[in-house]
Parts: sequence; structure tokens; C-alpha cells
Amino acid sequence: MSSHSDALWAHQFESFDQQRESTSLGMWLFIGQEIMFFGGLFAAYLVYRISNPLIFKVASSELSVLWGGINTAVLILSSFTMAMAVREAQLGRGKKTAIFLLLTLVLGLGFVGIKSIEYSSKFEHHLIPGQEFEWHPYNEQQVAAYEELKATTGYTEEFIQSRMELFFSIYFAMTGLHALHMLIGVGLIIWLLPRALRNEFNADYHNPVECFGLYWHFVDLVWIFLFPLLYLLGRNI
Amino acid sequence: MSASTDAIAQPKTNYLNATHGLKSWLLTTDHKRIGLLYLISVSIFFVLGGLFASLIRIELATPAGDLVEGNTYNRMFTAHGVIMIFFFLLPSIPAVLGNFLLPIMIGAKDVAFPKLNLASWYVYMAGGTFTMIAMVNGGIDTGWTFYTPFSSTFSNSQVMTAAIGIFITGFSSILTGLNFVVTIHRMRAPGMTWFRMPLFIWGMYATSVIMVLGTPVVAITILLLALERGLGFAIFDPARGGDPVLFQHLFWFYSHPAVYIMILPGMGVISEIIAAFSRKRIFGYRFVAYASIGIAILGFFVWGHHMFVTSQSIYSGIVFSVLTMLVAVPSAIKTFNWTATLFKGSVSLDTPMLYALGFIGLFTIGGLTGVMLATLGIDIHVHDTYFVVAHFHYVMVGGAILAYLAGIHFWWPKMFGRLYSAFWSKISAALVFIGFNLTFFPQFILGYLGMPRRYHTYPEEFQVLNVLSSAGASVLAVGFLLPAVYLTWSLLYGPKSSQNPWGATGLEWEVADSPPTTFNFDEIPVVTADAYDYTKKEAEVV
Amino acid sequence: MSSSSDSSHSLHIEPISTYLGILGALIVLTVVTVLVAYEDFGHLNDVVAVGLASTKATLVITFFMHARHATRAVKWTLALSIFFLVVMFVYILMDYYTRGLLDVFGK
Repeated sequence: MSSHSDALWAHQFESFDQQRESTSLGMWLFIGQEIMFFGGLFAAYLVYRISNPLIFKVASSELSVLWGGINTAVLILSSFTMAMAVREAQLGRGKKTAIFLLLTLVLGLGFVGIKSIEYSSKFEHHLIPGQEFEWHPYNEQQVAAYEELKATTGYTEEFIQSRMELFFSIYFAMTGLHALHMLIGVGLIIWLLPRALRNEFNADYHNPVECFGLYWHFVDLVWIFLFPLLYLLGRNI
Repeated sequence: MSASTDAIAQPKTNYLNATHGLKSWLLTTDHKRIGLLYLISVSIFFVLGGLFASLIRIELATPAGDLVEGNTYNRMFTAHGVIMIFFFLLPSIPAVLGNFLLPIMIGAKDVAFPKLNLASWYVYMAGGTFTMIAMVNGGIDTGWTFYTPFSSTFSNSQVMTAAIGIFITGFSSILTGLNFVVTIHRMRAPGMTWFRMPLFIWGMYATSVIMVLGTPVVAITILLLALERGLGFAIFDPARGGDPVLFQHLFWFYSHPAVYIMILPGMGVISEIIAAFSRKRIFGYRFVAYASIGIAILGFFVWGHHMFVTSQSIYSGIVFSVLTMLVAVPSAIKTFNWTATLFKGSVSLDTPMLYALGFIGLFTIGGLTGVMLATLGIDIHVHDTYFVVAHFHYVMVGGAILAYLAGIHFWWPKMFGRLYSAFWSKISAALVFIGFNLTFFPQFILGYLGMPRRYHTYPEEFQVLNVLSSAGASVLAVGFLLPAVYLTWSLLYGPKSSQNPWGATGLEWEVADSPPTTFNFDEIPVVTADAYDYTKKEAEVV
Repeated sequence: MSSSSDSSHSLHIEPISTYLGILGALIVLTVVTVLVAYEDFGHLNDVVAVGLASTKATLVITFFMHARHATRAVKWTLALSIFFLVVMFVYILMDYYTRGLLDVFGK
């Protein structure tokens, strides 16, 4: 075994196989941890959604399906490039690994960029919870939905306002935490890129890329659920 | 302690003197050294938490609120709870004994991720620092449970800083758990099959699963609380459609299983000690192992029993009540199997065994009162009274802390290669047992008579029982301080210990040196026998 | 046991076509998700949406995350996390759906 490989082989392991299986299991446990972490948020969403089904529908129509849809596509594409990066790392092709990582990085930044466009429009519409939150129906469809909501349920305007704030609190908590995970991912790619270029990864040792891939796919998974649950409610009213 | 007469052979270089200097400790990746770093930290937190407990007991010696004001009292019991639960009980056995012993017991050179292991200690210390800053800046008055909307909207204390501290500490717990699960799955020595593992490892495994899958839920809950308090989000605020009961659901989804994080490793320690000092294989080994997993899984199904008097649906209450009683089944399996192990064993009453026997008695009382509290009707009567306080102290102090002390006394010769005073340690075990019962048994009666928890004054008719309780607390304090003295003495002047002073089984006693070398074993051992093979060991002696 | 040649037997390298196929399937399913959101299925609206999302998630986990070639321990980890997640949802919802059935204030 070359001295180069020795450096990558931690002393506590007996073989590369054991090392790879251990890090993979460790990363999956971390993913399990992440599932439960976001799970708490989804539980909060569920509870408030079933308590305020009608108001959440009207609130959801405030979000842009176009931007949300584009972002979904961007993320799925980045998941593909990430899977390819792992594959290239397994094959020991450093340069190609780096290229796919770079593509993933660009797509990830694209996602965050689009997200910030969405956030700034929410800011302009006074839809940031806790900061002088005030919701107004902004097009004919919403005005109609709003009037119907008041007529059928007898909710006061104040009541509806407060539940709108609840929806946007959940929205910002969920998407904000998701975006934070994206940013952490971007940071990790920047750490991986030079290592890939130095050709550190091969069939024996590619755990960092593989584990990061698992993380990136998980972040994608969260969005796959967030998109329909937040953006697509009440499109059929 | 049975002083061994054979020549004491200890390795010249061991993990303690392999490298020198503060840096070699603060940057160590050796699981044994990290275990000792944790030992020092949790001991400091234990003293702090104990200090607050003493203040509480002094205040409650008289019915009037003459030592502190109500406001200060709120901060005192919160500090006691937060420090003891998050910074002592949760890391005590897993991070100290678990870190030190787990790799040795399964025949590995180290845990799977040594750097992550060190990181977990730093994360723990960072969380501890934040929480300490909160305490110094005036404390927190919400109770350790941080119930909303008081914590998120109304409290004027340092909730944010403390919340950040606890959020951070949670990740230390997750990292430790993750490390242990991987280590147990992937690092076992050849021949160390799942059902040859010592029961301590089974307990650690069950605990680690809860740490990894439970802790993130309380992390997100605290994060949501911080968003509401810090940024004005509407999450749990009832005025804006939020539900404070949802906070309790999410909080207890973790915090009830967290009770099992505290007790399961303790049960593992007790299994080791009962077997070693009865010189018998644990009765029903597989049942005890499965019971650990059973408790860990069932533990996730019972959290609603903390919420019987909230607006939680009565039907949920019934389901949670029945499921809670089911937890008694695996717990009883363990207790019965320990007593069955004692039966016809050649029992020797050394210090660890005294602590272990104390554990069995106190844990049984704590567990059975738990079944009482699971009953909807009784719980509504005694909810938020001293009955509950007594119940969980029987489990947490009588269970977890006694097991921790038992473990420290059992493995001390292995950890430091030195023996301690048998006489003084037995005195301390007796004082802890007597002091503990004197402190907390009166609280069962107080609670049943209706004394509510978390008040600094009480009606005069409760004074006799409260004075008894405070007197017991001082005996308990002496019992806890004694080990600090004779164990420090042992570190400096204690006679050297042989490799296996108790004549116990297990890789840590039979193969590893006292104290172990840096990589534990010269070569990875091959395991050929089941755990607790005492009959074979006795035969060898004869 | 220390030679690097025999240590890669647990490694599966997927052909690029698999990844491309999954990418295509995910994009198609996303379009379907958006389209069906404009249809009204009554009570089944959420079932359809979550069902589609779960299908996508399964594809990502199975192929992109290589779960199908993963060790048994990894599969158990995944199963246990999802199990506890479902436990959390079911038991919390059990409370909210059965509140107020007794027609007694606060129950």
C-alpha cells in the first residue's frame, strides 16, 4: 500500500472496506437525524394545516408556482449532477468529479438565488412574520377567495390575518431551514473541489464525496415534499 | 476491595502517560482520554447542579419564603433541572463510561470516528458555556421544560441564551450516539457476535438509537421556540392560532425517550456488576438484551403521559396511558432477571455491588410509581405535585446516578490502574442510599397530600416532612462528596491495581491492561465465548 | 486484509443511463405534481400530492442515494427513522383528530 493511501486510512479501521461501510452507515444515521429534525417541522405544519385548512389554501396562493417549480427542477438537476460526481469519484477521475461538483455548486447557488428573489417579494408585501405583518389580497382571484372565506366561515379579518401569519411563519421556518442546509452544502462543495482536483478520490477512498452526496440528495428530498405542501395548496379553488 | 496478592504487572506506557501536556489532552482522539475529559466536565456540572439542589432544600426547610424570593426560586429550580438533565444525566454514563469502555468491550482500537468524538466534547462544552452565560446573566425562570407561551412570549429571563446552549448540546449527544451505533455495528472484534456482547453494550446501543433519532426533534422544537421569541414568528402563540400543546408534543417526543437515554446505560452497568459479583452468567441474557431494545422503541410511544391535564384529547390520553404501562414489562424483565442472577450466586458485597443493589431497589420504586402516574385518574390528582418529583428522582438519582457511581467504582481500577479505599467507599454507598431515601420518600407523601412542585413557600403542616427531606439531602450530599475525596486520594496514593482486581469477565478485564494502552490491545483479540462465562472462569481457578 | 484490490467488492457503480432515467422520471413527476394540483380530487388532494412526492423521494433514495446496494444496517437505519417519523405524525394527529369528541369543555 502506498504511503498516500495510508494517510487516508484511519488507524482504528482494519480495512478500506470497513472504513467505507462505517462512514456510510454514519452518514445514513446523520440522515436519519435530519429526517427527524425536519420531521418536527412537518409535524407543526400538519397540525396547523388541519386546524386551518381554508386559510392555508388562500395563503398558499400567495406563493409563486413558477419560481417554486423552477427551483424544484434546479434541485433535481443538481441531485443528478451530484450523483454523477459520486460516480466519477468512484472511478477515480478527479477532473470529472470536480466538474460535476462545480455544476452542483452552480445549481445550488441558483436555487438560493431564486429563493432570495421570492423572499424579497414577501418582504415587499409585508409578509415577514413578526415584522409588521399585514396580508392583503393582491389580485382578483385572491380577493374573491378572501371574500368567500369570510362569507362561508364567518371568520373576522383579524382572525384571518393572524392565521396568515401562522402560515408564513411555518413557510419561512421550513424554507429558511432548507435554504440554510443548501448554503452549508455549498460550503462543503467548496471544501471538496480542491480535493477532487488533487485526485484524492478513487474506488477505495471516496467517502467524503459519497457522504456529501447523501447529504445533498437529502436536502433535495426535503424540497420535494415542501414544494407541493407549501406552494400547491388551493390551486384548484 | 479484594487486594490481589499476585505480582502487579502494569504496562509502562499506557494511555495516561503516552503523551504529555495540556495540548495532548485537548486535541486527543483517544476515546479513553475523551471519556476522562467528559468525566471532568460532568463532575463540574454535577457539583453546580447539586449546589442549586442544596439551595432549594435550604429554602424549603421552613414554610415561609425566607431565603430567596419566588422569582429567584424559579431560577434556582430551573438551573438545577437544566444542568442536571442536559449537562449531567444525559452525558454521564454514555459519554464517560461509554466512551471509555465501549471500544474496549467489543475489542476495537477506538470508536469509528475519533475526531467526531472529540468534536462532540467541544460541542458539549460550547453548549454548556452558553447555558452558563444564561445563568450568570440572571438565569431562566421557565423550568427545564421551557413550556410555551410563557417561555416564548412572557418570560423576562435569559431564555434565548439557554435555548441556544441546549440546542448546541443536543448535537453533542447526536454525535456520540451516531459514533457508538457505527462502532457497535462495524468495529466488533472477530468472534464478538451480537449475542456475545456484554449487556452494557446492548444498553449503549439502545441509548444511542434514541440519541440519534430523538434529539433532533427537541432541537427543532427549541429552534422554533427561538424563532418565536427572537423574531416574533407565530408558531406556538395561541393569540395567532398556534397551539402551546404542540410544543409539549414535540418537546416530550424527545424528552420522554431522553429518560431512557439516562436509564438504559445504567441498566447496562448494573447487568455487568450483578454478573461479576454473583459470579454467574446473567439469567436470561437474551431477554435482558431484547428488553433494552424494547424499552428504546416503546419509549417513543408514551410521551403523551406528560400531558394528561392539558387539552390533549382524552382518547389520546387513554392510548398513552396503556402504552406507558407496557414499558413496565421490559423494565420488569430486567429487574427479575437481575434478582434471578443473584439467586444461588456466590455474592460478594463490594462497593460497586452495594450501589448496584441500591439501584435495583430504588429503580423498582421509581418504576412502580411510574405505573401509578400512568393511570389517568391518579395522575390528575398528583400531577405537578411532589409525588411526581419524588418519582422521577427515584428513577434519575436512585436509578441513573447510582448506576453511574456503581460503574465508576467498578471500572475505576481499569481507568486509572489504582485501587481506592474499600471502607470509605462502602460508607459512601450506605450514606447515598440512606440519604437518598430520606430526601425523596417524604416527597411521595407530600405530593400525595397535595403539595405542588415549584413553589418556594408551603403551608405549615407540610414542614415536618420537608425538614426530613432537607435533612436527607445533607446526608446525600456527604455521600456524594466522599467519593470525590477518596477517589482523588486513590489517583495520587492508591495502591496499584492488577489487570483484573474483581476477577470479572470481559475483554476490558481479561485482555486489556490496567490502565489500557493507547490502542487498547497489542493485537485485536478473537472472542470465542459468550459474555459472563463465569462457570468456566471458576473451573480454571480450581 | 490490507491490500486495496480486494477491498472494493462492496462497491457498485451505476451506469450513467440509470441516473439519466431517474432524472427524467423526476422531472416528469414534478410536472405531473404541478398539473394535478389544479385538479380537484376532493379529500384525495393531499393523498395525491404526498403520494407523488413520496414516489419521487423513493426514486432519489433508491438510486441516487444507492440505498438498494446499501448494507443491512443502513436499510435498518432508514426504516427506523421513517418509522419514528410516522409514529410522531400519527400520535400527534391522533390527539388533534379526537379532541372535542366528548362534548365536555376542555376534553
